[in-house]
Amino acid sequence: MARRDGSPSVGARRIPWLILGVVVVSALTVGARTGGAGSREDQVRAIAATIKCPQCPGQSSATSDAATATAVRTDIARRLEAGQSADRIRDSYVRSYGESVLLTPAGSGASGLVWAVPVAVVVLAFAALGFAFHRWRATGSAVPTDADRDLVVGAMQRSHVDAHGEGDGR
Amino acid sequence: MNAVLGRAGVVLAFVSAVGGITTVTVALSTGRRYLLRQASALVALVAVGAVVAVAAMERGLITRDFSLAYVAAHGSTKTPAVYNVATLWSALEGSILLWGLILAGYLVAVTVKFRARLTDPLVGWALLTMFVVCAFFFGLMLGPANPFRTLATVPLDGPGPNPLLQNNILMAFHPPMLYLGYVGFTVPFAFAIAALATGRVGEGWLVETRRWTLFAWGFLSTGIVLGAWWSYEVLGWGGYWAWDPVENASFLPWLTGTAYLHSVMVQERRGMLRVWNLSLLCATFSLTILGTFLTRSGVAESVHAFSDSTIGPLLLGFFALVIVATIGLIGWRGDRLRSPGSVDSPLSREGAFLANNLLFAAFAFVVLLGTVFPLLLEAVNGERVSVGVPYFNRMSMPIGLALLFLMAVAPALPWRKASGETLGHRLLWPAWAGTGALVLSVVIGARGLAPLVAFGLAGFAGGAAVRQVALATRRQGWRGLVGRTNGGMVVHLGVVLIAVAFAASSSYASQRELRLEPGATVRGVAGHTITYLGLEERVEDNRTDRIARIRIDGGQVYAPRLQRFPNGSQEIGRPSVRSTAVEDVYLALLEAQPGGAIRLRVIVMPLVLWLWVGGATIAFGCVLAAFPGRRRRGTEPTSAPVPTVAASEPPVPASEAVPEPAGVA
Amino acid sequence: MTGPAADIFSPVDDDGADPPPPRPRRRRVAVWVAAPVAVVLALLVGVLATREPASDRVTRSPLLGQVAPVIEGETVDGNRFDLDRYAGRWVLVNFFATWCVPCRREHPELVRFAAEHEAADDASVVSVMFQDDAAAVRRFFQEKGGEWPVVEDPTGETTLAYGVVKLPESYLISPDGVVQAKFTSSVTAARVDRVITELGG
Repeated sequence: MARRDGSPSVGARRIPWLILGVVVVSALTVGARTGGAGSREDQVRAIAATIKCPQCPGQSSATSDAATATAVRTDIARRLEAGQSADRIRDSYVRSYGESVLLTPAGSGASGLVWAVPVAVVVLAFAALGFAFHRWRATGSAVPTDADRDLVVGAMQRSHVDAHGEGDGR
Repeated sequence: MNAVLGRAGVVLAFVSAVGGITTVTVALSTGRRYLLRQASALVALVAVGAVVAVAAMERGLITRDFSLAYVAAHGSTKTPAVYNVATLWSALEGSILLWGLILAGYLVAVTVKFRARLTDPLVGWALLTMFVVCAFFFGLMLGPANPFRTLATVPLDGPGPNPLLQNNILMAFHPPMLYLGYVGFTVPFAFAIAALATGRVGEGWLVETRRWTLFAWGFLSTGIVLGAWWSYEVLGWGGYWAWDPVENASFLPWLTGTAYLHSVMVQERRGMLRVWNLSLLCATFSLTILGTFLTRSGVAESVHAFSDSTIGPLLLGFFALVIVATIGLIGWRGDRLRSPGSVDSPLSREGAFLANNLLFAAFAFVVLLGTVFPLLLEAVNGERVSVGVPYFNRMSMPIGLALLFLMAVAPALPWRKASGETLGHRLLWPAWAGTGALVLSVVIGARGLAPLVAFGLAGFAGGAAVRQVALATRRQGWRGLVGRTNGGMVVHLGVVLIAVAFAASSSYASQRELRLEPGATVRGVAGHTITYLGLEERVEDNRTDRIARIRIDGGQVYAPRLQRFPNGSQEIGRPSVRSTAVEDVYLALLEAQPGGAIRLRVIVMPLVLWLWVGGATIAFGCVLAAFPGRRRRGTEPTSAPVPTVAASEPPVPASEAVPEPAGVA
Repeated sequence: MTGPAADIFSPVDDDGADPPPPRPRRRRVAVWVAAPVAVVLALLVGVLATREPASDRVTRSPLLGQVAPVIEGETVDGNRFDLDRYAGRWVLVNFFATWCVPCRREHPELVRFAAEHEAADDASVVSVMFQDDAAAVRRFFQEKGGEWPVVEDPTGETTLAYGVVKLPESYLISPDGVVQAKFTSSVTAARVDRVITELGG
């Protein structure tokens, strides 16, 4: 059902988007299914990546080659063989080294703030933005009056004085 | 000789900077404009001082003048010539010297560019700000960070720079590029201060400093990418970004600087978002100072940090001064900065840029919080925690995806208000590109929700950028490739490439550690065959190498090695990488036993090459964007022309009157 | 209206075209936003100013006051070792390696400590070797003295269990099996004795 001017109707325009939407959703559904846990080496590395190398400043046990980091990786492998879970392994490291050995702070307590504060800030910021948009829409777009038009014309004529468009700050 | 010359240069630069501060202050407060012209002589003296000091230090390094404490600590007779020049910036005092030189260079450039307007108070205030920054950095060199300390007993040789800084030529380029970026932001910042101080907060100062900002941003981006490349090529862990505090220190000003680059377009077009722009720019400059503090004070745990705690408090003091000055000025001028216009609709270019600002600011907030949180928490309740890679990756992923989405949608959004119809029409082709990218990834075998969404959005954004450039070239020929908008689209393409490469290489990397005897072959290492040919020892003039010769897939031989330098007791590994467009095979020699048995780390990562290609594209896009497009004066109308006839004519509805954005700023 | 030649601080003349927006209300917004931002940044600066460099930071061991982790294994002499057999006496567990220079430096102090408590038989020294070679350790003890058991830790399990960051580290365990003190820099017999006396041992 084309319009009189030949452009497609609202419904027809939406069709390509619907197709795209269906394709995207199905592709994501297929793709989101990840495989199994991966090899033992990968599992070790995944856990080691969350444990700080004890003797190096700021590196994880997965990426460092220091003596203690390799010891950590061997230890994690041994514990996985023994059937310990990743959380249990992390807990035992915290018992020996303290909270700071984990590369992500726990979600609870004061250290949970590092997770909570950014989320809160982003939510607040977008809420403020939404509120501001609502307020702007309520006040509506201005319709130029004659005085406004004269202002613009005057400004254009004066532009050779204010060649850099710095304005008067109003 | 070198020490005396160098010190004289620093003193000259410092005194001239202080003289400049005095002259300009007097000129501005008493209204004696001619004094401002004389300030240009002082600018020249600052530059002369800086050049003399750097020349003296380089001469000392090249001639191996070990009477200089800095050369004795970092230079060596065995270091090759190129690295001796680069040793200037390999340690603290020398890097401050480089900062001073680049700052003086920018000061001269500003004076030359604005020479016709030197008596204008705006330029005067800008020069004053830059003189203050110069005085600070040269003052640091007079006192705690003195590069020209001499030694009473001259040693015969030095240990040379840190071995990690000696084995790749990129070392020569990464810091100067980074500094050209960092220091470059001083110029638009100085003009922002000038605009606030003089009250001339319109768009003039923005338009004048647009290219300076682009220049600085381009160098900062290139510097960051080069740093990632160097990290990948030199450190053996097979990564390029570790969210290390020093890396974050360079990333933070990049984030706010990028937000600023975009947001200024709204101020140029509609005079809005002035507070945002001033805040973002001042934040960018403040973050460069804070970043320098974090890098050099040693308070944050980092593999990279220079270690010196004496200039830490001074840098922090300067940071405090800068934020007091900027918050004070913005708070004072706040009333003037409010624009009468407002964003008409969230679905508009202004709305998109506003959301962009928020996202980048949130990103910067997250990175800053993660970096300083251990320090904050310890100060509050004594708890020790670490905030590392998993935190940053998890927090930055949603923001990164949202930014990719905005990158796709914003160029298609018209100013003021968009209708669904316009948007749908403009975004259809990019949406097909994004869906195609997603389907292609799934077909190839990529799995995992986050990387797939990233690929889809990257295709979407890439499609939007290509569409923009294609339309512009169709309309304007070669001119459709240059100018702010089109150059910006090329930069977006570079960012898209980096996003895809980042998502692919972090999600689909596979790593194996192999124990190999000479002659052994291992198959099935992430689809590759690794043959260990043998161990070789080679003695160079400044190091001893133990090289493992590895053949990949029966083809070329690669040589990861362990290097031992005379000053170090441990061996530094130097990896060897086979880069193809599809994937990188990264070889790092971990251990080599006397019998020839080795431990080798093999990491296979897809699409890493595209990180560097993306970086080069960003640099190229910046060059294109710096090209003068069709020059637009600040007072040129941007919307449909307002007729001077009576208001009986109905106003033209925005959605229909908006032209397709052409390749014009 | 005057152009750029206007005074540097005073606002440019209104040409009276429009009444200026109500100033006081707008200025208050700017100040209300600027003030909290300034406060937050001031706090940040304050925190950063009072931090000590990361390399100087010493972490308190989380094991203090906890039951000592198990030490089980073979000694370099081939005997079985179990920390439980040492219940009822003070034990100084020393993590070391022959390639670690500060470990070699502090060794005489450990010999002295062991000798001092030999008569009363109330305290013992136990060494755990980390990433070292048993033959080298035996040679080291033959040269430098020391008659206490040296436990092998091939997997690094024990070293990690005690939260060892950098060699040498020594842990003092009280007779009831609780970790009482951790010594990081080179330990001296006097320091250990002082701790034992303070704890009433």
